[in-house]
Amino acid sequence: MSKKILTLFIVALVLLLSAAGAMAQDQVLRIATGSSGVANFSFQILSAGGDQQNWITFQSVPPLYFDVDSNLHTGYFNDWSQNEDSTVWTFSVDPAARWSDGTSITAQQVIDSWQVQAAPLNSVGRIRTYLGNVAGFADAREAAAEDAMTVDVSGLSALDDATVQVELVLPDPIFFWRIATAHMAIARAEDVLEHGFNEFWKPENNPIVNGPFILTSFDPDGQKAEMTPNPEWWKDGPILDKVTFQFVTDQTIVGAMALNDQIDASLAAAPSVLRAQMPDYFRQFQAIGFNTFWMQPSREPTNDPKVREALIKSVDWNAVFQAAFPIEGSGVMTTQTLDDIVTCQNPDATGYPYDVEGAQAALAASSYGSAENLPKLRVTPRGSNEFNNRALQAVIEFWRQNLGIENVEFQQDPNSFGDDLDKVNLSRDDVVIRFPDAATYMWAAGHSAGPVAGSSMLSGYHNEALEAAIDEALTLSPDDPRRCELALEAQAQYEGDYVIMHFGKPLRTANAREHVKNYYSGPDVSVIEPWKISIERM
Amino acid sequence: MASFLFIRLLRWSVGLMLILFVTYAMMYYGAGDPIRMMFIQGEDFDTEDEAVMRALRAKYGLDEPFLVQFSNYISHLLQGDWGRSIRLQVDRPVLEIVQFRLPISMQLGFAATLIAAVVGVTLGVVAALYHNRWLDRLIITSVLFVTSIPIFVIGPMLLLLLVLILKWIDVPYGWNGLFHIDAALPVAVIAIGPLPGIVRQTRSAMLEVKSQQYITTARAKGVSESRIILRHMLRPVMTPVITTLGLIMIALINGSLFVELIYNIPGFGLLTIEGIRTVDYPIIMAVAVVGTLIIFVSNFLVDMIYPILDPRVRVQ
Amino acid sequence: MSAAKPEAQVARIADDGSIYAGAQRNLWQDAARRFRKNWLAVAGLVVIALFLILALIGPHIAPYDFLEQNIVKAFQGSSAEHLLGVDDLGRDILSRMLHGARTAALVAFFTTIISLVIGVLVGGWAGIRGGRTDEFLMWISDLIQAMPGLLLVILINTTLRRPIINWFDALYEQTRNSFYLNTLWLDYVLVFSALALIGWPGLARLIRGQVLSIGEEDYVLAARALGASERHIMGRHVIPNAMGPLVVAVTAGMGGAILLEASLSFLGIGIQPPNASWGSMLQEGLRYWQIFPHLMLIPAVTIGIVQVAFVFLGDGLNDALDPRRNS
Repeated sequence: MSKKILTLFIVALVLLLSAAGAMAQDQVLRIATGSSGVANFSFQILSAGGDQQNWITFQSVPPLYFDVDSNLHTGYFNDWSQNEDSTVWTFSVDPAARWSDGTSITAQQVIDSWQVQAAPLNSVGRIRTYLGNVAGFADAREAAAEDAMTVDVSGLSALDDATVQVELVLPDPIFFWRIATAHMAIARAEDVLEHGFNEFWKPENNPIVNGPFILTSFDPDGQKAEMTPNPEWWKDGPILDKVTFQFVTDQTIVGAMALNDQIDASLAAAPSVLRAQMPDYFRQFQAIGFNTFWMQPSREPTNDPKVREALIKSVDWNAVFQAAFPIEGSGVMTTQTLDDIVTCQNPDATGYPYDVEGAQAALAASSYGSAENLPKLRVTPRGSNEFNNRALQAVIEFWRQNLGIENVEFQQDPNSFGDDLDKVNLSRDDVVIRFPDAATYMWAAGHSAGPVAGSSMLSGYHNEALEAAIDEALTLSPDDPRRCELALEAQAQYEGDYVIMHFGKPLRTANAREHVKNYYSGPDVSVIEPWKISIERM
Repeated sequence: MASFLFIRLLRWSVGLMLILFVTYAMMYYGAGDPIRMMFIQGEDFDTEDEAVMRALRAKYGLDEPFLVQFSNYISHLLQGDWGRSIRLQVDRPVLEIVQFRLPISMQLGFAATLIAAVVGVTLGVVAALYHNRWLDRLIITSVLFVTSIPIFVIGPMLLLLLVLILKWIDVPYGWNGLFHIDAALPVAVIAIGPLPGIVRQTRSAMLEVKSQQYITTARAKGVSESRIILRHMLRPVMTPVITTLGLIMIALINGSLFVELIYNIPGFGLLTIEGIRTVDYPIIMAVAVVGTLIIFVSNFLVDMIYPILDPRVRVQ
Repeated sequence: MSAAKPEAQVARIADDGSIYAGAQRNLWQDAARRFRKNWLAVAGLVVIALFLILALIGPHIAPYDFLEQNIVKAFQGSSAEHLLGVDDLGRDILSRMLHGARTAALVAFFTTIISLVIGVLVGGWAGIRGGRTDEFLMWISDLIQAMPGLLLVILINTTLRRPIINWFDALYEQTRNSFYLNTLWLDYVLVFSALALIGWPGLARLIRGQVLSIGEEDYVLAARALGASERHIMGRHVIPNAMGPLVVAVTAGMGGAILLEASLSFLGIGIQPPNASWGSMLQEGLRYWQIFPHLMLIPAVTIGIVQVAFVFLGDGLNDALDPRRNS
């Protein structure tokens, strides 16, 4: 008799436990992080690049941020103002904002964290795009000692505990958009100085954060990590009880894990051939994210504008689009430099014409005269992304068919060029602007002080008319229609120089199963409002 | 004996130094500047910034000329400092990484060798017993066919078959110990590689033994067939097989790279690939040091053990 | 001094007690006879021969230009126009496979020939000279074998490409000879040399072992006593006798080289697209296998068949060339 009771008891216990287990399992988000090719498993908050930028918002709130529909929201700043010519800005720290140890966030802490990011040693290259125009930024970096962990930027000051003042060199009416990104998330500077820039965020150093979750375990060998809610979180939520991360770089494996319900979301896209099997996973939303090929204007032979013209006109860009996105609905065609979600576009743009005769004439008119005399072209899609690889292979084939160019070196991985990176003629990237402003977008793409022309990808590119238009546009209010006109003028200049090749962008997909609610990436690719994410299985 | 050992040690130390020198030179002159790569790889082209790169080069001592860099590396290595990862796991001591990763590959290699040996010897013996009959041919050809498919085809295919179609297992992930179900598939796939070698070696050794006179004698004396196989045939067959097993295991430790890549196992082979992809000098050097040492040590052990196993060598 | 005719010394007693005395020609004839009886080996030989013929004439009989893209048709399966279908960029798979056969044959043969030449020279030299020369040469080959093979191959492929390309660019600057501009074949050369580099020490050891054991044989001692030069001994006695194991090692090496090249392609190094190699076709096909399996299966199955054929051929040759195995 007692045996039976015992059995019943055990069965009940098991049932209870598994039910409890199921409930506890309910609000766990399992993410496969890691993009193909680059093996960097990290949850650094301040480094503004790499895979980890997708997850910054789990641990740290941005100052301001855009949602999927490009509406601006407040983060650790809740108010801002600017002077008449937009050279002095003040931001108020949200009085509710606090760290995970319960203390309030002060204006000085914000500035200290920004200054840590500004120190060259900490290798936050992207910080130039956000703070490059702040008074004293360039000088501070120039003067910084090689091992300096922080620098002193004179244009940043704390007016009181809750007010940050930023002085700019040039007027910038959209400075508040500029910093509306997770890349301006903050950490406590004293923690960084104590433990080191690449260490302070690790659980063993008890990181103090201001986001909805805290990194509670990080296993660089097993390549797993875990986050749990921040008890001092100061906005609503979070709903999730736990977020787990696994480092998986292979797309096929990511797809299999999603199909097998081992993960709920992933960073690397699953292979597009799985679209039919997991329509929910591939549900789409708008985002800036735009792949283009750039031709280097200061290296042989693409330093000759006629050669660039020939290389562009000899390609049927509709066919390249088809080659890149053979599966219906995986991409949208693009016909101009400006992304379709920034403030303005040229409605009449039709893209580059497919003009074989024009291309051949341009090549004949170039300083090389013919394909045989053309020095080697070095090209790279920079990575194993399937869309870009197919697109670039299609481009090369058009060159061969229409211009007879066979002397092309194609390397998937730019590293394969070694020190010859300085000779690469064509590579791929997107215009890394994280807010929907057309003028800034053109500045980033074509201004010699901007990030694209500032990188080796387009170094040496300089167009007086384009820069004059952008310089003027940037000082105008975003509501001023002239700002838009100037951006379009800059775009016309840019395309006339034949440095950019655009064919289409992959549609941004959720990369999450249907039961993951409110899971979206913002324009800066980090997940928006992770405290609202929940798991709702049917 | 002592002087013999000393000369050997000296010769190997010089050899190791030579290998390290060549590796470093190849990285330095051929692979390019790791700091530059760091910004160009992946999605970070726009972050290229001379000031940043200068600071980082100075931090890792990469702004020095080649010979200075190399001698710095060697002198640090001799003091037990293996350097810090530049890119893969930023600033983490390389020794720590190796200490975690090497045992994983060793366990995988060891388990796979064991399985390959058991399966291979069994199949080899069966094939020899059915010499030139259909079973013999079936074993030899099917083993060959399986091995002829590249491991990076068979690996993912088996995985997807077992996970998505048969639903027997989950996608194995990471390293949860050798006896975790996740390790089963990788071990099995690694074991496929050396299988035909072992099968053929066992089979031909068996065939040779089969025709020996003492077997005929034993048979004439009426010893049972199973006893003949187990006692008289298997033993002489095993000796050469066992001596090659060590070498197979070494090859597997270093060569499990593809399997580790496919199944996300953070082992030593994967470290090789990751180090090269990220142009992480200290990692690549560590892989060269450890990989070479493993082979040196195992060669040494084979040289020491072989005379014990094979008396003929000892006489010489 | 060629007084000692090798034919006289090939006399040997076979297992069955009969005496093989006579011309080496007979030995080869015997080998051929034994080989013909082994149908697996003959099948292997036929497959290899077919593979070589296709590698030789394939690019000329290919129905399409292997680079030509027909993007509208991408991923189509087998049809009358494209027997094996088309790939992700609408290129004819049959034509690409035929070009890939040439790549595979080039890889297999150049790799093996380079490592064979180095192996025979080094191994033979070490075996004949003995002493310090032997020790030094074997130390070098040990060192190369001591480095993890794949690491070495990957290192060579990732690091040596640049210096060589730069050297050629410099040559072009001087000579303006457009030959130096096209460095596509460097992919091939690097793969050959890297694979050969890890291949030769094994062959050198094999040759050295043969040299040492044959050197002990009476007829070689006799030849040496008669004053035959080392080159003569090497050419007339050592190499012909080492033929059996060497042929096996070489055939196995060829199959292995094809597989290794495919593995390099899987890692994204080695022969780069749009050049056709079975390995890179396989690697690109793996991406789509769930929906368009033919992209992956065609190269995978081809590699498998050629691989097996090489092994059967090697086995057959081994049995045929080694009279003692004649049972």
